[in-house]
Amino acid sequence: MSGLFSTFNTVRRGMAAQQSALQVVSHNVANANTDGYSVQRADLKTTEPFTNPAGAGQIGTGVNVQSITRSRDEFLDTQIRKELSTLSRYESREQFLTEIETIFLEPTDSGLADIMGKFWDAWQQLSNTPESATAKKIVAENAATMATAIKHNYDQLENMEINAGHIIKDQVFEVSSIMRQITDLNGQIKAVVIAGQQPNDLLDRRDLLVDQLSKRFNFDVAPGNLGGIEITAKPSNELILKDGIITQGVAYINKVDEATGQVELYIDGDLNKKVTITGADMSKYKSGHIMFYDSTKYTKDTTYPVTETDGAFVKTATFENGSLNGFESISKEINEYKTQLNTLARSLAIAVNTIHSNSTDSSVNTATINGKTVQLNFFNANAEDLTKEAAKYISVNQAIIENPDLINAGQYFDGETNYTAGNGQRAMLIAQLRHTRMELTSFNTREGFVQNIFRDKDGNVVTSAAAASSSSNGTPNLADLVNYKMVSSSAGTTIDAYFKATIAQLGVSNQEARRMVSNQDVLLTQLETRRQSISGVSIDEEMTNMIQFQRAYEANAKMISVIDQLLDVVVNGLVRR
Amino acid sequence: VRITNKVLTTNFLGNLRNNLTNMQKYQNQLSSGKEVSRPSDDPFRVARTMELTANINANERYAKNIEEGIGWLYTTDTALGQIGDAMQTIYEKTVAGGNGAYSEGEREALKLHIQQLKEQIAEVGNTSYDGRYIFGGDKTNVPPFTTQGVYQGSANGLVREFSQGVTLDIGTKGNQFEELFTKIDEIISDLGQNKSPSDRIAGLQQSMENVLKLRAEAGARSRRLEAMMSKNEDETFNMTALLSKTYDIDVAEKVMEYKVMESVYNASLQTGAKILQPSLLDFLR
Repeated sequence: MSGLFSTFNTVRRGMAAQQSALQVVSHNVANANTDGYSVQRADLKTTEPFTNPAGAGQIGTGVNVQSITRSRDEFLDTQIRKELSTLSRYESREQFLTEIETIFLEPTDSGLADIMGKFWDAWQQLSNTPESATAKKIVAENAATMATAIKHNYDQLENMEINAGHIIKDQVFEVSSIMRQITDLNGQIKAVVIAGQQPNDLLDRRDLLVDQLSKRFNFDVAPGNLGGIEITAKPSNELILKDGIITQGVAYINKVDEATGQVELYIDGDLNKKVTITGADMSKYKSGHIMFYDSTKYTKDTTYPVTETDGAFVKTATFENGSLNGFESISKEINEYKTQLNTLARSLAIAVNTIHSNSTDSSVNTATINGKTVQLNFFNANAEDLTKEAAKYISVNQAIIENPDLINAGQYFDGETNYTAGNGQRAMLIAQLRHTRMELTSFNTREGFVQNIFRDKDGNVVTSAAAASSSSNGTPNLADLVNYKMVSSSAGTTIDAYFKATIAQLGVSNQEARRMVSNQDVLLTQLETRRQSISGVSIDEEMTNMIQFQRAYEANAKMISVIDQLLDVVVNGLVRR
Repeated sequence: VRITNKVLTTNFLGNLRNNLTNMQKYQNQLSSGKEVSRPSDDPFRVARTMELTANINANERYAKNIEEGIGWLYTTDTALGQIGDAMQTIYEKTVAGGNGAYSEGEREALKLHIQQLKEQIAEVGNTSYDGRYIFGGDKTNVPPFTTQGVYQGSANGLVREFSQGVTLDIGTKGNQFEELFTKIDEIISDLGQNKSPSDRIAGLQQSMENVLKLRAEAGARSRRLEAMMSKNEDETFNMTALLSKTYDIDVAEKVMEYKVMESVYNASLQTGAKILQPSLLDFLR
């Protein structure tokens, strides 16, 4: 039989264990609102019993805290990360698409659709009162307003594209920082695991970082050595992080110089770590995009800038979902809208200029009127150039702004013997462009425009060469309604409808993004609820545990005073003097 | 399922945010009076709205063209009527001039009268509408007739568009009735020579019929424009009604929906205030 002193030991262990458990409870309560925290439990276990060879079997020796574990479902983590990266992709898309909607201002009176309507109306009014100087002034002013609006929309889209680039750069920086923190934590975790302990809080912190990383792109996580993890980016299956090492870092492409074949990279999105790649294969690089760089080959991180040759050092990074994918897709989509605005501006300039100057030669632009020599471009001809960004250059010919009387509303040119003030046929033709379907994505020149929608009275395609004699400047007189007519192309679309389609495309895109964000929100709320139900801290539960451990602690303490009394009996009461 | 405090707050916040988003949607709709305010609200509704707005605006522009065309043709009609009347008088005078009993003096008086009428016709030929000469073809800024009745206008008509792809020439060119001056001159010349102008009557009648025909043509065109006007108005009305259906909200319905949403929102706020408060801590002493 064990002695009273050995019972003291049992009590001491009991008090220590309850105290540890209370410590865990207080840690839980303290972290009740900490992001990524998983509730911890002290696992109590009986200590080795004492076998009494003489007496009745084994006698317990008390309790011990065997381990402190966290409550976590790793399968749920994987699911949450996958859905988080989908949510992030659509959130970033929604953010930008909503801004683009604000740029276009449809469907309001100040949107481009309405401004274009006023432009056509002005021509229609001019065709009705071709003698009126006011009507001409209104045409010039409405056209200038329209050109400004197109240019303004385009500039705003361009700014937005630059913004998206900045955000990508910042996020590349963030991703690098998260990856570095993960590798650091991997090191610390490894040290604890080697010592045979459970690094609960470190694991929580790493899981939180991995969650944050999953907002940027989607990846697979696999367990590595001694508590480490490996991260493989999807869909390229590129191993980017293994235990304590970043194998593939991320770099931001700041500048691509097609002419010299030089590409400027910011390693880790850090503009102080500039690397220039020479002799680059330009198809691989696109400004504003992201590359993986081989960090094992990259050790020269002391002196910048560094020059590398195009080859194995960097490779194209493609991402599945996540905000990085979202922003890349946005910058692509902004480009589409820009292209569409360019097509709109170019076809407007080509169509109006061809009819107004009655010439398929865009390079000539003269005026003088009553001393003859006409052929005046209504819009500046550089908006017709396929190699230029038409939306950026469209503007009304300065000569017309200064003197709207130069606008030719009639069939004949000023100064010709047949000229008449009351003829509004040319203005009418331009007004009719509003409802004329043309293949505006495929005609790139005035010649193409004329062949697309002008027919002679026999229904033959009109080319500038066909009727050289019928007008003074080598082209058929397009405003001669008897011999030529404008016919809608069955494969074409009107300029108004073309713009409407752009708006519809934008609307559908953002509608999808909004729907996905709200779906993913619901899904993630559910998953998050499940995670909280496993890993979250319940105050009620902790309070109950607290009382439970407190009472046990008190009972153990009581035990000491009982043993003390027993010892008092032995020491002071047993022998009477 | 184990429910923790964070589960409650997360769920509550999520639901509250949803309710608030819905509230905002209804508030936007009610304050703007429009179903949609951006393309993503309903891309097809927005595209339809843009299309209808554009068509209504174009139609309203065509209505102005038609109005102007009708005014132009009414003026033409009145002017041709005046010419017809003057010619009727000339006809009567010419018949009278054929009377063998008329003296040279009397014929001279007739001649002077007819000359006056001829100048009157030439003046009517220079009638203008809104500052533009109506009988000059597309040469609207120059008087089409000299006082002697020589036409100096253009041979082109006035082609205008009155609805999508529908063009009509609303001009009546002076050269279509210019010959009547020659006829009148012949009569004047006969009378001046104290001759009976009876031989000229048939020719004059022809000219009168010609003017009548031109007037009938102008009338027919103005009736056509009137028909187009009523069609135009119908179209605008229908499209406006359709636009209203597509773009405008049904206020009563929206207010009801908003009220329902509001009560849901209030309920969730109240519940939140209640469920998030108590914990075991409230009961521990």
